[in-house]
Amino acid sequence: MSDSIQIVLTALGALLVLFAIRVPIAVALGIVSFLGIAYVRGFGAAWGALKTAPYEFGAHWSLSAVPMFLLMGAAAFRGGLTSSLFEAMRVWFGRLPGGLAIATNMASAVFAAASGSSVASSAAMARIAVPEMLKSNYSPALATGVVAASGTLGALIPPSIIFVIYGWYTQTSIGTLLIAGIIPGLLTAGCYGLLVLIIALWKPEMAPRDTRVSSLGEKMRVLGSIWPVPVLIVAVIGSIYTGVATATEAAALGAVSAILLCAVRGTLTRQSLREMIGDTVGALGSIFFIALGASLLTRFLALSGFPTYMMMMSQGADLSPLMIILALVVVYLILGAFLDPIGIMLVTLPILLPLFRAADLDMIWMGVIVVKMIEIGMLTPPVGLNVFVVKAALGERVALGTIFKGVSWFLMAEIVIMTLIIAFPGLTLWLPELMSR
Amino acid sequence: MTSLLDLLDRTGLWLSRIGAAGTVFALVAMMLHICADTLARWLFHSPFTGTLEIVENYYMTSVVFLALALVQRAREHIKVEIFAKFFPRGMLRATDLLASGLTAVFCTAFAVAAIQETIGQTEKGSFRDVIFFDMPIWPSYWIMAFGGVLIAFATITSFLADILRPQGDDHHENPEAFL
Amino acid sequence: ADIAYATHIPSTNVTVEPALKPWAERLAEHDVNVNFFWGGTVAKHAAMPPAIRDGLADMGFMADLYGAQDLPNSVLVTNLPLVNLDARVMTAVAAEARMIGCEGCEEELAGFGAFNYNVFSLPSQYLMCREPVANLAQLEGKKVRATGVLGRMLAKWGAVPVAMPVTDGYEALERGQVDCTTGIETFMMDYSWWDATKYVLDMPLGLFAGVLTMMSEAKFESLSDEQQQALLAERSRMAADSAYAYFDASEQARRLAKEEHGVTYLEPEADILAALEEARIAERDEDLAQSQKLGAKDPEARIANVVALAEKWQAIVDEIDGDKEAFIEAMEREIYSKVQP
Ligand code: NA
Ligand code: NA
Repeated sequence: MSDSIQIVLTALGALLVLFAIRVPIAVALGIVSFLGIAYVRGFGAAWGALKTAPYEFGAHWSLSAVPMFLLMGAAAFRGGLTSSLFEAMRVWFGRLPGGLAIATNMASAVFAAASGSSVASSAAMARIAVPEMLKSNYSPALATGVVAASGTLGALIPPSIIFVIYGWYTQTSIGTLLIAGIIPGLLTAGCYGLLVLIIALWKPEMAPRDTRVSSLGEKMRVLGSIWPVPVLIVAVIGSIYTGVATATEAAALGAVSAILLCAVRGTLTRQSLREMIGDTVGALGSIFFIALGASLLTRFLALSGFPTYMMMMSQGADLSPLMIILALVVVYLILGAFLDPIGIMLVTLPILLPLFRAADLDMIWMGVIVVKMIEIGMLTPPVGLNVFVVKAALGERVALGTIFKGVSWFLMAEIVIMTLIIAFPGLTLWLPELMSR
Repeated sequence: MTSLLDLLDRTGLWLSRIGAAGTVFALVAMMLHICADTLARWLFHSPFTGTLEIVENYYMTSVVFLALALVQRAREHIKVEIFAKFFPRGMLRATDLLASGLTAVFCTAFAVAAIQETIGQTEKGSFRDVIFFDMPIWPSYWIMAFGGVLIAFATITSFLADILRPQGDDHHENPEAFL
Repeated sequence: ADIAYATHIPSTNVTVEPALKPWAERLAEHDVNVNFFWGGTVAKHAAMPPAIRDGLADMGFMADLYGAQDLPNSVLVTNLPLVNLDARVMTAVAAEARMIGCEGCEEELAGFGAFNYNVFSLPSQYLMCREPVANLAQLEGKKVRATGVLGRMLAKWGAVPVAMPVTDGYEALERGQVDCTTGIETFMMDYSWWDATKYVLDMPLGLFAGVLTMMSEAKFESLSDEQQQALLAERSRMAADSAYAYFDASEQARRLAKEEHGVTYLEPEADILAALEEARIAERDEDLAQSQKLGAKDPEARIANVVALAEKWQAIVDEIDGDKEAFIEAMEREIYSKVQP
């Protein structure tokens, strides 16, 4: 059994080396897993796995929600929903202390109901909200930080690609997971909003008051411009919550609705259509390539005997559930600093799952904790994908270090948020329980 | 030599575009098919037979395998860039060649394995029992094999390009394309 | 020697503690160490024979229905779910019909470099519904999670079969995407179905006598004589333990369903009983057609053989009257002692 530790450590070392020389993550996972299986069970077995694993992985019903959620988010963004949302939130909340940043945070939370991913949310909001805030003399750190951080709501509030992949991998109900993400998502949005308010009151020079006054008529008019949002919420969250659709069916309904809404609003042009298709194909190509590599890794890790070993060790050590969760948090903080989210999840889950099961931890609750930790990893330096997309959208106007500085305040808020989510499982599990009645 | 490379490159581009078009086509068909199935269940209490099987074996295999090559061509496959910053320039060239070579080898191995599997399934004429009829699924393996050939072609071409065109580093990150 | 044993079942499955672990412990005394890979992480279902061929696993456990195309001669037996409704009878029939006088069965596994280590039968399938279903009128138009033979039978009776992974069953039932599901009674326990399906039709719909444990020929050859003998000596006991484990767990599930989960078992009405009787005869023709299509050898004679074996084993099982040791002895005498890989 101690063999298995040696094999897995060697494999992880090899993975890091391959990552370091910029081998695509999917290829690195594939090569290491192939050689690992060949070492444990022989070349024929490794070749057999390479022949059968990809198709088995690809031909999967619940995973089909991923491309459709991606398309839905791309359609919402390219169809102009993001800018309408920001405008509406600005008109309503712009006059609060830190109003534009609060409006950004609110717009991200609402846009999260249309977008399945965190990076897509950040990218969309960066182009629209950051220039406005900079024009109003906001501190660049705060302006970019709030966009990068509130982008993570995209993965918590349904729809969510990461929840779909977690559910697919752990065989947990995807619909339940998606609903479970709602309250932690809103909690996160609330804490972020509060944080912005505190910053704005404490250092008013970072977030100058907006002087524009909006009439009630204007306030009503902008509300009218965001009517597609409730439609999308009904199509996805509503249909899952009431049980008329599974996650996959909700994804199909959501994608069709998003495209139809673009058509009704007159934003479905050749150009926007090409852009949304480009966004979707690029994203799903990357995600599925990594997941293909990870499907081989799963087989390798199983064959190495490492998960069984971990499980026996943890039973022997009599780890409390809290210890396991804290260990998970630490591991995700470390890996999350360097690696991409789906890669981390698919690399760690085969090892963590037996631990969760042995400790009888609720898989829905653990799913929310895992997704939160992954999203935190998207904000931490040196590799923080959300920070990178904000940087990419703004070009030379803001330095990378400035964005990371802005994000660091929100990471502080995450300490509070994670403590609440871990201390009160009910925050996560209340809605799913309500749903099943 | 360069002109041959250009030819390969252009061929690869068009092949990858055909692949990506297949992905888009399958994605749209999947979306509409599932919507129609859901509506049929609500309205007429009768879902279509075979939706699950067609989604899994045909739409999903197309969506998963056909877009890989185009994304690989755009070099959008996620890499970890953090360490490379500290490599000296000469070493970077060597490691990039190694990385690109390993990628080509792995993708080619995947393509060969996929073709072998596909031939096996085709000879067997594999199908799925959809209660009222048997749905052949062996053709869907050809989708995977085609996707495998596309990505092998793309990675080999880019490896050759990396060897023959040392100057100019066209690596670029485009994280927006991801998530 | 190490044996990599792959299966789709999780380590919490009902057969693990009473059958698989004791089996592995007995083998360990002969220096045969079984490493289990649960939950399909290494291979499952139709991927099992290729996994053994490629050397990903040395042994594996699968329902042959999932690999019907690769194992037509074996599936011929499974596709007669109504021939006898006693899981013990069918555990013995499942083995004898495949392991004695079935050249096709041997050949199709040999194609994967494997042989049948043993076979057992699952307990009977039942119809479990959100609303009472005890006659054909109540079944009419109901969406039922069912596949294969059962799906076709229920469709003939007026239901709408829906294909769906077993793991999605609970959610779909709870939210009304399907009205009923088919399954063995332990699934009520394993997948919490009893919280959603409050009515079970108390009429066995047939049992699938085709859970194969296959083993790699090459691996077997590589073992010492003593290890080989140890493995062979355990075949009938492991099969019987597995069948009895399901049997016991089904009774427990039924009791818990009634006592603690408010599940009602409904007496079947005359029309649905008659339909089942019809299906019992019709399944032979259907199996014949299916077997011919899949290319099984000499299907007519083999179906007749299964029917005859079911009678033979019913007599034996009646005689031993539930005594497991006697049952193991009978299987050893009539089947396993006669078969060497
Ligand atoms: Na979302
Ligand atoms: Na990070």
